[in-house]
Order: sequence, then structure tokens, then C-alpha cells
Amino acid sequence: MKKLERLLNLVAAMLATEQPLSRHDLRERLPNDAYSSNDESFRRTFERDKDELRAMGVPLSVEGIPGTDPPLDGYRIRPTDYEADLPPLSPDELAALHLASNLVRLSEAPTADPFWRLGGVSEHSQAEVGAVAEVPAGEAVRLLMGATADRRTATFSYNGKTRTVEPHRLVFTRGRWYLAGHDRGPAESRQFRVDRISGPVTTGDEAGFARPDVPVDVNVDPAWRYGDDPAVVAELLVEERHVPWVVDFLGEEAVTEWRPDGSVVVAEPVRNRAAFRSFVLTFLDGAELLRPPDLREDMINWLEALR
Amino acid sequence: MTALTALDRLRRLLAAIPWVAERDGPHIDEIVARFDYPRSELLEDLEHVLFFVGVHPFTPDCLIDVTVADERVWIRYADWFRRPMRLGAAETMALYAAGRSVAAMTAGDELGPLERALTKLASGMGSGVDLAVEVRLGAGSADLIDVIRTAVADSTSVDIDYYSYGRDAAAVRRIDPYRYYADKGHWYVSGHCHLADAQRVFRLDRISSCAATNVGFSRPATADQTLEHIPTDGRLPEVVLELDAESRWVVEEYPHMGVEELDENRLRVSLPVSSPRWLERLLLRLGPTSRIIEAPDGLGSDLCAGAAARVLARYRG
Repeated sequence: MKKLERLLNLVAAMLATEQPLSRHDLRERLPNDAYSSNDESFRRTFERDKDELRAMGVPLSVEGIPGTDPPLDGYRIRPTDYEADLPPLSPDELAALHLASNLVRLSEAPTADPFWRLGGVSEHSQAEVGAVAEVPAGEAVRLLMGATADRRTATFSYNGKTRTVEPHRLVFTRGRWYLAGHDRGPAESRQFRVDRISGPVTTGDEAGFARPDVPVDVNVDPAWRYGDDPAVVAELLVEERHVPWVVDFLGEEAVTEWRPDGSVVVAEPVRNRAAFRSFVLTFLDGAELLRPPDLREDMINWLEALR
Repeated sequence: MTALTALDRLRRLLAAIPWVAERDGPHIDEIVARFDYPRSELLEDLEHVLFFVGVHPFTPDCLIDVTVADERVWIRYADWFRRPMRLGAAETMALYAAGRSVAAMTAGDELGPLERALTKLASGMGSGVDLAVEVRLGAGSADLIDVIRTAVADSTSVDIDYYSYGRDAAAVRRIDPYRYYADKGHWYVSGHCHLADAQRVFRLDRISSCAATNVGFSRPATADQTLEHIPTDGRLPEVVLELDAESRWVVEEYPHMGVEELDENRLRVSLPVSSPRWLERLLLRLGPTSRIIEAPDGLGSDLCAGAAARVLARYRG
């Protein structure tokens, strides 16, 4: 029998049963030529089929068979786990979603299969579009997405230590993925850069933790806002040519003065002076640190030493 | 195309069976298009495989009924496969996050088809989970992106007031925009710059004003499609720096030609210099945490000292 025919019959048998079935029960319920009558080669083929179905996303569950002692593994697919549960998407909704996933491509993610399961996108609605963004989404990112959605813990190695994290937020920003959550090791809120995770990510059981009302969020605020230096508010004069960028970056609320020559004054809370000095120097002579006087003095001394 | 494997076919069939079963004899070509199912393989699988699929004891009443006639397909009695397989959590999340990032860059239209699709996707997720994964493509005004997108789509030129980071100067330029894209948290437009008479890439948050024109352009067939990167193949001048441990970020931040680990967590890195202004910024920021080991004429300590003096002039008034 062809493999495709065997797999279809196997999925049908596991969907149709209300009780978990042992692999021998399953063999009996499939046509005679589906599996080998040799127990060992049957076992190997069955195990591989099971793995391949799981890898495809088929929610195959393993349960003890009631009344067996020692308990035998039984297999089935619960229709409530298997069947699509989304409200059906209309053709225009599906086309818009398809267009969006072409515009913003999560690389290494399967693009067609999810759309087949949503009903397929007909050729006519498929305008060829160039991507406007390629977002890296390898194995680790996909596992973390699933873990965040299903409330599974994620375990991985980070900076040489093994961490088990309850993932709350996964954010792609400034070209990188960040994970924020509750780290079970030292029991604290933490943020991780996904590209610094080394080795594989493993995930725990579904609904393995409770999502708090106020989840830990990813924080990519500028570095100078966090640190051990005494908090001050620094005022920075920025020339007109840098204004679009600086307003985009810090937000309009940071601007305390719009000057007639097109320059602006922005106010920033500073707790890490070295990080702020580094930021100010990216403007070269297009910006001037106005206040407070000691930060201004630090800047002058720094530059004097380089002159 | 290469032949589909059994698993490739299974994926397609598990999606196509419920879709066909729900309809009254769709055309074969439509199934081919929707499920990317080569026609000959689809026909083979319908007539020679699906026909024999069912449940124990495989009597006719326990088998799927498949009819292919007049270029149309009917599937009946496929109760086990009455619904397509559900999207996994990660797949739903990926679609949702990509969709939301697109919705965020297109200003408005909250009742559009994309927004409706996203609402439906979110309905399958737990409360609060829909917002748990987010893709932020880049800061930038949706209005500016909108002007650029329209100009790209219509092939019309735009006039931009642009600040060049490399030259540290602003100028008004007319550009023929070929494409726009987000990369590493910023939006860019690439196209032909009339001022430079060459293809250039512009970062949207360095455009202080942008005006659409009704001047059309025709895009050359040879227009470069690739994102522009700083080449590390020796085309640019190089400087070699020695960095303290606290300045290791340089290696992550910028393209380089190689890193050598030294004692006490120091390292030596060789960097391509895309413009003297870029190197000035870097050297001023690093200050005493870096040493210049090798630099071509004009890109060494003189450059750094000159830049420091220029910035100091602001403070000395």
C-alpha cells in the first residue's frame, strides 16, 4: 500500500475512535496491507509515521488504555484538538492576510501550509508583491511563539546558564527578537535577546503557568535611562537636520522647545552618563548638551582629551 | 517542479478534502491553484488513493466517495475530515504578528479585510495572548510611508529634503523610488537619485519633508534589487582598532573583517570605513576605550582630533 494511503487511513482511524487504541488495535483496523505483519518492522514504521504526523502538526495524543495492566500506550486524535476552530475567513480577508504575509516575510516559516488550512488562496487574488521586510524566524523563534501563545515554559542556555522562563512577551524590534518573562531560576522578571540563546529551546506542557495581569514587557528604551548614576534630566539642543530622526526616536513628548531656526531642545532622563554621552556624540557638532552643568563639563573634558 | 512526497500530498489533501466536500463540485483547476497541487498528482491521488480511504471495516459505507467528472470534483462521506486541521499556536502567532505589523504601517481603515481577518485570528487565542507577540518594523510616520508607497506603485518621482548621515549634510533631492522596505528597525526607500545621478538608499527618518510629483519615470530593467550593505571585501578603506571589553558592542553593531581576541578581554577588530563622518562618530564615542592600530592617511588620530575640536567649538562658543 502507498504511504499516502496508509497515513490517510491512520489519521481517519485515530480521528474516528472514541477510545485510545494500541498500535496493534490500529494495525487491525487498517487494511491488511497497510503495515507489515512482522511485529518489529511494523513497530518501526508505525513510530516513524507517528513522528512525521506530529512534525506536521497533527495533535496525536498518547493515553493509557483503560483496563490494561501494565498500562498500554493508546493513540488517538481528539477532533476537538484537530479541527480548525477559527471563524471562517472570507475570500477578501484571506487575500489581505496572504498579502500581509508576503509583505512581511517571517523567514524559515512555512508560508503555504497555513493558508491551505484556511481554505487556500486562489491564484487571482495573489498579486506578486515584493517583501517590504524579512523577519528572521528560525526554530527558536517559532518555539518561543508557540510557548508564549500556549503558556508553556521555555528552557534554554543563555550566557552559559540554563534558564527556565515563563514567556510573557516576544517582540521583534530594531532588527532583533527579544523575549521577556518570569525567570524561574532566580525568580525574577527578565529580558533575553533571542539571538544570544545558545543551543536548542525546549518547551514544557501547555498551560504550564498563569499569565499575570501585568505581564513582563520587553523594554528597549535607550540605555541611558537605566543605570546607577544619580538621576538627572539632561537638555540637548539638536540642529534642524537631525530633528526628524530625533523626534521619531525619542517621541514628541521629549521636545521642550521648538526654535524658529528649526532646531529643537529635548529633555531626557539620564541614569547612565556614559551611554548618554555616546548618544550625544553621534550628532557630532549637530547637537549641544546644554544642561545640567556637570554633564556639560564632562563632555568638554572628554573631548579635550581627544583633541 | 520536483515530485511531491507522501507528506507533501498529505498536507494538501487534509486541507483540500474539507474544502471540496463543502462545495458542489468545484473545478479541478481551482483546487490545483488553491492548494498548489500539480494537476496530474491531484488526479492520481483522488482516483487512486482517496478512493480507498475510510475506516474499519472498509465496506463501501465506510469509504470516502470521490467523483471526478467533467473537470469537476465531488467528495462525500469524508466525515473524519470534515474540518481542516487547526493552525498551531506558533503558526497563528506568526500570521497574526506579520498581519498586525502590516496593519500598523497602513494608516487607518480599521474595518478593512486585513483588520477583520486579524480579529478572527485573535478570537482563537487566549485573552491577552494576541498582543504577546509583536513585530515592530520601524518607527516612522505612516503618512510618509504612504506617500512613498504610492510613488513606488505609480512610478512617480518624489522630492525629498534629506539629511545624509555619511556626509552630515542636508539637501533637497528628486528621487525615482524603486522600492521601500524595513530593515533592522528602520524604513528605507531605494531608487535613482537625480542629484547623485546614481542609485541610492535613503532612510525614511532622515527625510524631513517629502513632496509627491506627477512626473513619471520608467524603471530600468537593471535596477538593483538587493539591500545595500557595507561591503567587507576590501573595496572600502579599513581601520584596525583595539577595544576594551566595554566596547565590544562595536563588533555586534558594525560589519567587520575579523576579530582577534587579546589579553584581558580586549580585542582587535578591522572595520571598513564607509565615510569619514561615520569613523569620527565612532572614535569620539569610544574615546579612551579604543586605540587606533592601523589607519590609512586621514583616517587616524588626526581625524579624531579634528572632529573633537569641531564639536568643542560649539561648547566654547
